[in-house]
Amino acid sequence: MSERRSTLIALGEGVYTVPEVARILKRNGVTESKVRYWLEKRLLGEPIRWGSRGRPHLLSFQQLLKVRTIQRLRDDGFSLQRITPAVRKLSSYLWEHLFAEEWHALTFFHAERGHIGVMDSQKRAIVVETGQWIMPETLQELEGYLRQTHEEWVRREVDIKGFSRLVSNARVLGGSPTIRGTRVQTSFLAYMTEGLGADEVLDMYPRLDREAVNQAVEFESQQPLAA
Amino acid sequence: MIVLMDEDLSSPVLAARLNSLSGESGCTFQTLPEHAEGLDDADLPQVCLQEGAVALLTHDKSDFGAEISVQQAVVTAGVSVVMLRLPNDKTQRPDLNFLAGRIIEHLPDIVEALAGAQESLLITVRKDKVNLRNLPDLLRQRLS
Repeated sequence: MSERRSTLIALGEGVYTVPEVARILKRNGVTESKVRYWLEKRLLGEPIRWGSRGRPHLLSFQQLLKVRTIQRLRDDGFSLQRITPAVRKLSSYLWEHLFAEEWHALTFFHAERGHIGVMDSQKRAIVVETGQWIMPETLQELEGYLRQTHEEWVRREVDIKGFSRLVSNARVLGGSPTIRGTRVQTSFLAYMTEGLGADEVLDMYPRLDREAVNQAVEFESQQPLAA
Repeated sequence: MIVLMDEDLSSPVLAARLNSLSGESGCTFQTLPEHAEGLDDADLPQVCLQEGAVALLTHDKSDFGAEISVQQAVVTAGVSVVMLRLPNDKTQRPDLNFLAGRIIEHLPDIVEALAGAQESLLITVRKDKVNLRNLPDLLRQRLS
């Protein structure tokens, strides 16, 4: 057997195309055009591969979490015009914390007018301009979101919002949406169910249950948000 | 020779049907062992080797990342991939008869290819033929 091997992707770190990221994060409000825009603005860091004609951009699991986090910051009041500089400033700080082995809890605080500060448990802090007032409860929720995101990073698995049985696990099928705890792709399950009906599929796959099948079908039936 | 079925296709009913139809081809289809449910891609090679499998049976995935990850995983163990092209479910029911029938129809070609493989192969099972590609070369091409 030849020793020639392809080592161009790191197994376990996820391999996502832009449409796949948008599909997984659709219910978080993410669209393909947002992902492409943030990728081009270099907010997500270097992808596994830059695409070209007929060859898709390839993103990692870490970048999927970055996309969701940027969307979350937007939802929490970082305005569209200011998100880019704010995230740029946050990135070397926030990403460093999110993707570290050890979690140092992050605390947000109001700084001068139109600015938000964030500090970790070692008292390292930065201040960024948000352009608008952000409610204290929102900041508390954001802290919880970041802690949860760090946990997802460690597990390399993210829940798919609105589908309690579905996940994207970077270690399984490169992060393709699957039934939690299995290697069964939602797309395959939906395809089989479309052709055979749920009862026949359940007969063929006794390890699965109806709720998992139903969620796979519903997830696959949703179209990505318009760009 | 043993062909291990990835979890998507690991239906005991399908395995039984395939094995009853495979006759004296010398090929045995085996479902993924229970302990390997939800297995990481990186652990696929080890399971293939433990089970003595020369190939992993899978289907054409709907996304690039899934296909690449599975192919890259097994290639490290020198294992081949037998990829079943699924029909359009609007024109053909992807039922047990179809899944088993398409594989069995091309089984002599699949067995011959696997028996003579010097490197991992991607064996794509289509409606009317089987395509053979050198898997390491294909991966380099797709990921460059």
